Amino acid sequence: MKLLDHRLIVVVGKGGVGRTTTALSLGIAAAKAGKRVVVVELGGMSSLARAFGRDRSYSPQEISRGVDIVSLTPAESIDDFGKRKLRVNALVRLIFQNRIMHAFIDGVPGLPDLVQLGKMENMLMEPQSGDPVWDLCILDAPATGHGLTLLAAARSMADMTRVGPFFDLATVIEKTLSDRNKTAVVLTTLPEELPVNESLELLTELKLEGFPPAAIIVNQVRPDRLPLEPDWSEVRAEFTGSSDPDLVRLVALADRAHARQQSQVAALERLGNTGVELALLPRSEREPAAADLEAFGGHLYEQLGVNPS
Amino acid sequence: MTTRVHICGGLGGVGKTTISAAMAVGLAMAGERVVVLTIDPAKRLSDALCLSDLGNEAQRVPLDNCPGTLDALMLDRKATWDEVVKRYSPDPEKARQLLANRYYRAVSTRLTGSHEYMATEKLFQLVSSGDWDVVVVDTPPSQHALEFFRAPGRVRAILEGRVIRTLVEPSGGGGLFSGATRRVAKLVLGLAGKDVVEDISEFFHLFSDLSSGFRERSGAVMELLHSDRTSLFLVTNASAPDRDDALEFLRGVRERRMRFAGFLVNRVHAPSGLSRTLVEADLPGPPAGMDPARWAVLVHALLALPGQADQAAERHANSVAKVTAAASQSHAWTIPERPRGVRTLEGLVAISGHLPPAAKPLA
Repeated sequence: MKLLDHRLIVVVGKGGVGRTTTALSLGIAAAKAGKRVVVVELGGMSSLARAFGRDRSYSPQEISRGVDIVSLTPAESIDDFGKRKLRVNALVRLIFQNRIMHAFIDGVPGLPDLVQLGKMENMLMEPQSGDPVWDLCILDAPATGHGLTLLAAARSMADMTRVGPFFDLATVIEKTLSDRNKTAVVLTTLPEELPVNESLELLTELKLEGFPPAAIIVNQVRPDRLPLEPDWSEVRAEFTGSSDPDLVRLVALADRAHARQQSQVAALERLGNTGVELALLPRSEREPAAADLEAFGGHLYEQLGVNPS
Repeated sequence: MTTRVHICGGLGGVGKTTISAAMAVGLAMAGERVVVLTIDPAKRLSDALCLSDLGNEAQRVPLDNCPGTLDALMLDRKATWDEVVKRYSPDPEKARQLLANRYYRAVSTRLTGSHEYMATEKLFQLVSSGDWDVVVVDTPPSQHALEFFRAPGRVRAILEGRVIRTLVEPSGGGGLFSGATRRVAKLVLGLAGKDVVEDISEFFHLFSDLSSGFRERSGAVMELLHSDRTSLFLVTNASAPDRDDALEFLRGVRERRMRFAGFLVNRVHAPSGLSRTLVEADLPGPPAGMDPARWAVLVHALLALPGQADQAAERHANSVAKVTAAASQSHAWTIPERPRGVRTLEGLVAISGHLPPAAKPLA
């Protein structure tokens, strides 16, 4: 099954590795494959919107052809839960907007995640008449617990509640998340030693929890500054021993460029050894803006959209 | 308590953990008794400090020719919760009941902000032991650099639990609450299920003995963080400094009247330092037996390196200027990029040379 043919892609990875860039680029790639896509972030974050110079919004806003973004909050999601799932009347709806209700949601660990995942599940799987219809939802998972906390939220909520509407909601979400034909997990990382160490740890944990990643997306891959052939280390001796101070400096620059390149090659090799499909995004020297993301979407479409994963 | 505190804030991925470890090394080299508290759940610090099993207790880091001492620990959120409960519960039976409570287990492992909250509990332990001159704190990964200061208050509000107790304790509100509130309570409890309500109710009952202690310790830590014994540093990445976040951090620090010690700009590329533009004739010819075409590819790449290095250096210098402009008269230190990353104690020692107290800030 191709990655982009899933209904839900959860993008995980630690802070600073470019999860938001990955989520948006994947969305654009999927739109190129003809999908209608929504990219979702939680907790009232505004990272997705900021990349396009906009403000966060609970209502979908289109940021690229066929790609919408949505920023959920627990409070708005629980209000919808009240409206939709319980088909409650206006009086009871007031109760869902009650401060006691919201304090309760905030005070029960995992419940804010659960109600937001519930909202996402509803949007995607049970659109009501007049609602937008999406083929694919891409979730930019929060950095907390590297995204694993979120994936496990439904399961731990089901353990804790054992009965009642929240339990039912958790069960539905858990079913979607653990269905490999519906949900794919994508791990994001950087081609450097420490981020790769952490990604390999996270990969093991994800497998253990039953969420083996369908793909690893490596951000910020540098172009090779030196040719691979002849390798700098083999010819370096030709350049040393000179009394020209500028040549000495050039050798130092080449040493650094070579070291950077070697460390990236090693990092990519270790990721390749996991057997998980890799896709690479090039390094950008600034916070990626709309035009960069469109280009990244193209790269991912070429790498992931055409070949079966 | 005369222990000083250095806090390294910043977004994920900027090298906060490495920088705080290096700062701790530098302080030890300057003769201080130092402990570094890292909170990142990945084992970055233990990688850099060559400690394979960095745990929830301080461990000595072996530093050669060091006039001071360095200890390191990695915060284990759950273990810290359990320690605090065992230590402050009125009797072992109550501690046992609390540790077994399902709501407690959820709070201590998954409640948003409880990582930050336990960091402040751990900081309290370290500071009040009197064993160290300086505690260096690496802050948990979060979307906002200020989260470290905000989260503990939010968690404490939940633990004070007025609203939740209204819901779960039938007698909690007595006759004070209106019919509408009771209806909300009934609905919420219906959503959550009876078992959850019993767990939460038991939790708040058991926790009531501990509540005032939590409040006092948290108050003491907040006072320390706002005193002149605490220095706040913001770590940013030279290639992608997040100016909005830096501004928000500074605003928050000023509102809270905390002491901003300066920016630590990480992974700065140095200019090439060449005095002239090198041309092909300055470089040696191909070694015997090498295809000249392949050699030409290498020469071409080599000659491009100085220009690329100067471009990167200029970009970084601009971004340093942009970030520091956010805070007038604030200090900044730049830390050069290390192409192989930091994998040894020697690497940390080298970085510490660019940080306070060893290095003076940029003019």
